[in-house]
Amino acid sequence: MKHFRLLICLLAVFALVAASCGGNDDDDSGADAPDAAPTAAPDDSMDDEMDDSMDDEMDDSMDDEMDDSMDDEMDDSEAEPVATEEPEVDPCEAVDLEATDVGITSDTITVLVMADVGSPLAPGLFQGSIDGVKAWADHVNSEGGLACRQVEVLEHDSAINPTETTNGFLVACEEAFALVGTTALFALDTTDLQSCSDAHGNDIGVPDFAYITTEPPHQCSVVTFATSRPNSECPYSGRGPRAVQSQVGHAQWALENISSDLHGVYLVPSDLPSTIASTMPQLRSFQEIGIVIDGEPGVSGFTTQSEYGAFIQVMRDAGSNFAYTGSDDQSMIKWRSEAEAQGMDVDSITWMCQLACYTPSFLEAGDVIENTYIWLWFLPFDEVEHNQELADFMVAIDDPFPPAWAAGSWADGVLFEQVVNGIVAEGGPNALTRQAVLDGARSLTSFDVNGWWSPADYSTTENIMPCFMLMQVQNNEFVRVHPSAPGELDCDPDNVVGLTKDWGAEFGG
Amino acid sequence: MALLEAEQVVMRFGGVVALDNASVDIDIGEVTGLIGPNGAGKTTLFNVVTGLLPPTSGRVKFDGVDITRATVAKRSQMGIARTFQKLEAFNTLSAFDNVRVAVEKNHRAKWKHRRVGDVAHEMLGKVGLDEVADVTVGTLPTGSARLVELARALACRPRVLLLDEPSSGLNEDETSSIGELLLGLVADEDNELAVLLVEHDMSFVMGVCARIHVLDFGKIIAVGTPIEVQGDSAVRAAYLGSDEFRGAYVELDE
Amino acid sequence: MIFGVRHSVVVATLLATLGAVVLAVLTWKGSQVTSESFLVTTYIGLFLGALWAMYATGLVVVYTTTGVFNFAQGAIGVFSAFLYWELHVNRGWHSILALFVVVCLFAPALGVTLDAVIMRRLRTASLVVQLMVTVAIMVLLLSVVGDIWEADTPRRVPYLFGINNGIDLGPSQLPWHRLIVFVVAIAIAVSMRFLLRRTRIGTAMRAVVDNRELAALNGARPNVVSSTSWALGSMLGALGGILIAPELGLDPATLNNVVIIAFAAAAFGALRNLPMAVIGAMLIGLLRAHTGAWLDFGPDFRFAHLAVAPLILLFVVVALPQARLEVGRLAHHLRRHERYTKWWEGLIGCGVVILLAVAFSGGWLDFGIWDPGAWGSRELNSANEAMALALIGLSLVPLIGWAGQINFAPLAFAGFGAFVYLKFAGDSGNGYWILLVGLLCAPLGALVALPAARLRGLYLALMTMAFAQAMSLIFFPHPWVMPIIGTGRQFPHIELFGVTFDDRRGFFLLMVCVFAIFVYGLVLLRRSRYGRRWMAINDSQAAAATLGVPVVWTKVVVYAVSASMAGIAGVFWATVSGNVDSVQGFDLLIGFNIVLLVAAAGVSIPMAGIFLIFIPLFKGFGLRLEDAGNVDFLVTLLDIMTTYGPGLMVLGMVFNPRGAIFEMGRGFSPILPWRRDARAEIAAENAQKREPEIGELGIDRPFTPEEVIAIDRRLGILDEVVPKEGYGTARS
Repeated sequence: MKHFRLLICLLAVFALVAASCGGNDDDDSGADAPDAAPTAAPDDSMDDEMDDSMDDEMDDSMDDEMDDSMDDEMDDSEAEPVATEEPEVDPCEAVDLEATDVGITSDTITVLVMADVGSPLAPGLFQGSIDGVKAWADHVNSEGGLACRQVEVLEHDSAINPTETTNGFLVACEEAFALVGTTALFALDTTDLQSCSDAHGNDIGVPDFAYITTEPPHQCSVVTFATSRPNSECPYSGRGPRAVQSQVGHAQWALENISSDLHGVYLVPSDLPSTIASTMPQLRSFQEIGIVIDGEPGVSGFTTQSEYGAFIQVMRDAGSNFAYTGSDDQSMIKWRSEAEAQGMDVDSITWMCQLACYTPSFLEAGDVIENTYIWLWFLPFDEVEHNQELADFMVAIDDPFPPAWAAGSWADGVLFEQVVNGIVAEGGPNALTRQAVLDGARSLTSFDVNGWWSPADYSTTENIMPCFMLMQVQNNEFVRVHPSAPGELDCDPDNVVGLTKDWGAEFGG
Repeated sequence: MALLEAEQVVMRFGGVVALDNASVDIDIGEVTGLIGPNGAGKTTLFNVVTGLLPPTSGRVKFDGVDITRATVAKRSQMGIARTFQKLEAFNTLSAFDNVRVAVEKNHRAKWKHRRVGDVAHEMLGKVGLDEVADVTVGTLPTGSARLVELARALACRPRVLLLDEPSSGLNEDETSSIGELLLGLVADEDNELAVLLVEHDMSFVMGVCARIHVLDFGKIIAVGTPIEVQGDSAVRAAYLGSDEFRGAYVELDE
Repeated sequence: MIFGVRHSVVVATLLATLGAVVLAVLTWKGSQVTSESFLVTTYIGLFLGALWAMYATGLVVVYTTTGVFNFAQGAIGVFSAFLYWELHVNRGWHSILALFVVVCLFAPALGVTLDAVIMRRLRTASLVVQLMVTVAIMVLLLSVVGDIWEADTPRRVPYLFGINNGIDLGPSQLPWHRLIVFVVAIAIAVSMRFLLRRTRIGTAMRAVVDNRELAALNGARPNVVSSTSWALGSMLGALGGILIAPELGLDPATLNNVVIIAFAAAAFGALRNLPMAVIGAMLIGLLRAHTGAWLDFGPDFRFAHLAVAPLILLFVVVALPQARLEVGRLAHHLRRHERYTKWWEGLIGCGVVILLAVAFSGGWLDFGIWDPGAWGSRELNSANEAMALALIGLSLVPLIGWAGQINFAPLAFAGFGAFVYLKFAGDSGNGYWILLVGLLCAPLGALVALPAARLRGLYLALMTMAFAQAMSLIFFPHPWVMPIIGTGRQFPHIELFGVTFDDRRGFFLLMVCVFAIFVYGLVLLRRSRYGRRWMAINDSQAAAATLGVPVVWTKVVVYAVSASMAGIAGVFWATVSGNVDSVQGFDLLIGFNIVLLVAAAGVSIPMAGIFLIFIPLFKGFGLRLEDAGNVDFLVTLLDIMTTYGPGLMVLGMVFNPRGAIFEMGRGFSPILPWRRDARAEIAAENAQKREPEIGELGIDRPFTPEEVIAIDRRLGILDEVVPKEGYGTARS
């Protein structure tokens, strides 16, 4: 329970991960396709799609929209003899819908959302993930459903507990077509997930569209597709060197725009081996692009604010001008509060944090966090005017500042939706099986949540999201600083650094 | 030479002196009495002799060996057994098992050729508790629980038996049978047994003890036969106003 | 106490210092020590020490005056900190007002209520019951906090006083907040010391714990005194919680764990010496700050600097002098009926256990209106985990239920067992190695118990807690111990008698059989001389010693047996999930919950351990219920039961120390055809009235004739003063 915050850190880490686009052969092929290339200014296509969906909204047929999105997203997967030319034929009318696999009936598709919610000590932790998936399902259903069927959502509480997490996989195997929006920290055993039987007696596992994957068995599960990319080499034995890609665009930006001589302290969330393993790559990547690290202490939930004094001391001794936390928003608040308490000149330092700091509670800390930089791999929640998917999400979730995992689970829903639509477009609504979904997801080389997120390649676990945007806390608000135009992400291929090391052993403590 | 000697024992609790150079010796074949008003230090002396309290100074000798630093269990193995003023029976266990724990612990050294159950039954029989052998001691009346403690102590086959108010909670008949039991035990030369008895029932003490030590405010103020002790002026002063002693005195006079 | 120049103190101090120096040399970070950085680190250490000293002061005050060691002290702080956040941050009250309401109104009210409803009744309870009840309060308070303030929003409590200005120390500064907290903590400790030593109420407070009856006769009002103590202790806990919260953030588990440091500090003062406790707290604070600043333990021992407190506790336990065997406490002990389970009754019981498990899991039980059906893999998976925990719980039966000793480290032993198994059978899954696990865990149990077995039971409890903490901070996170694997299972499926137990149902039945074997082994053990001896030292260590029973050694043996069982259970526990989370999996709170369950089920009656089988059975049953639908309220009920159940059951022991299971068993036993005696026993017991405490009588009101008789009976002089014939007349 002391590690919940870490998870948040993990999210951050994954964000870091979200870095790689280049680097690897598989990715190149994806990057070559024009539509899948990082969309630095997706405004145009956005507008089109938005218009389309607006037009079609009242229509009882959804083929147009489906086709359009197919066009946008699936072009690169070349073979798409999609019925683009016959928009008037409704595939749902044309066939008798069948119960094609577990969790599918003639009129429903059942998905299961599993999240760590109910621990006696921390009830409600990732409730946002469940809310996100439900909001997505309601949204899809209100627009005519998926594969001519209504989406039904089952919930499972993995309770921050390995056994309950395994139970969630088991329930999904028996009762759901797929897992959508998985936000479980302790997916230690994915044997059942990867090997349970479908309705046709094949032990192929159940598709798992997850938000985060913290443990190697989950990261490397062949049926798991995480919207927060694990960016790490698979399969992985758990020990020894592992190739990992990291997003460093924000640090690169700081080197170019703040000081070319950045050096400072990087806080490593050290509670779990998995948090260390997912943070160290970014830290080493920072060094790779020229940031000097004066200290890399570990922090945990047990680290008191006054103990941050030791890190302040290191910074003072080294004259640091850079401070980055791989941990959560609370660590940044404690760090900056302690710096002020010790009378440090905080304005001379570039404080930087990742997604974990993008929370209302971070702003509640008040003046002390002023000027902190935060980077994201998706458009921030207030840019609804610049992306229709984000706008839909914000309306459906009905929360002015939803937690990041609500967005992540929604993105899982969209990912699932897109794969399903691809199958339906190709083989009709009765072509929908777990095998088809797995195949569809594995061949998806670029997915960007309809322009809301950085695109990512789902055909490999090593691929990361190359795009980022940077914000700064100014007058107690998150203010976009880069790229300066709202609705844009910076997708420079140099944002990603790939390194291969034994990450567990890299950490010095 | 006395079997058990406590020499010049001093026991301080903070500022309170519970035993002040108290010396006691007891011999085989005798029941020795230890009397004194409440708070005189009788139980403290028992605790020092059995090792539950380390004395501030002074020595305890058993059979000529200095055992002042020996552990409680070691002393027990050497042959010192006791009962307690405030009950320390194993309330959870049956009377039979209370005794069995003692027999089992001393089986190899002292009861080699007999079965544990037989010895335990015999000990319970000696104190007249055969009928309640299977009853949980916690539910027995206080007096019977005391007898369980006595049987348990006997099961250690002691050479020195320290009895702390065994008659409390017993009626007159039971008390006198305990007295007979004690006298029988010490009289049996095979036992080589010495008994030290703390009692408030003066008629009981005067009836069974060969010699009596009188303890007052931690000091031994008199040693002697019952008759000698009763005639001692210091003892009378210590017990002044105490009905129990006067009653006993009167009784003996008759 | 600890000041006396004793060999143990000298040796322990030398060893500790030597160890510290060696460690420091080995792990020196190499960063430059300037006078400024040294100064800053030192004041940080003193400030942390001051915070812990506040908790420790509360612990010592309550322990000195009521004899109860309050494991819930940290949880009171947690609750108060959240309440303060609610009032000050969420509702916008002024900080002074919120502070006043929480510390001066809420906390004393909580303390007095706890005392009046619960603690007062614990005075005469056994140590097991005392500790378990305060642990239960801790768990319950934390659950309530979790339910009221959900964890999905991080919260922050602001500093009470300014943090951003203070005394200038060259380039850095000492903020007023820290200075004030330090001064307040010292002032509180000094004034508490003054209160206890120099004032009338303080004298009464200390007197009451030593001899309640005597103090009452001298005019002290024991209830007022204990309420005052609890109010004070609770206020200190609240203040500590509110002051620590800004340092750590508002996370219930993290905040609560701080109290372990306070335990170590209190132990440093031998639990009663306030100045030494404060010094202990400062020492831990300084050690922690300086190790954090100058030492680098590397990735494999990344939590080592957090282990300062458990190591201090270990040091204290080694240094403390041997405790005297207490006499004269027995009158307060619980009276229990005990009878041996006959060997054939044990066989029947084990058979019933197996049948029940098979029937439940196989869906053979038809509840008429609702047929649960056979368990699916999910039910089996959950039941397997619960079954493994029940096995671990069973290991506590001889320890807690029989010998009356506490062990908060069952999970640590289980984890060690799993570790041993992994090293020997990690490749093959050969089940015969489990026997070796049992053999190797026994010495570990003995080793843990050895230093503390010569002390009072409370130290053993603290020692095992420190051990559990140290293991989870130092041993288990080490990557060599349970290496993470990328895919598949860390722990292979167990193979026994040529069968690989790789499906969940088979594994469930295997564990049921192991459970039955454990239970039957316990039945036989209970009937043996060892079982008797363990029961005996629970009833009276002094008496056992005078019979020649080596008490310390006997305790060590019980721990060894228990650790051995826990280790074997740990193999199954680890194999259930196949992968063990080496950091979170050994959380102390999980261990607390197991201990609570066993205490609730089995503290008063040795064989109550058998009821642990119902935990996995109900777990699977509950999941079936959930699947069946339309029984939401039952599911909710089960949820509440699992969250609050163990805590509430243990609290029930306050009013009925024998526990719910005992009463159930007693209620059912007359049904058994061969247990006609049970009915008579119940009748006899019901006839016995509760006998009043002497101290409760005659102080505020005159004796009634019945009470005179009651007192005479208590004093054992009834027969002497009331002639037998007069019995009836005096009563009527």
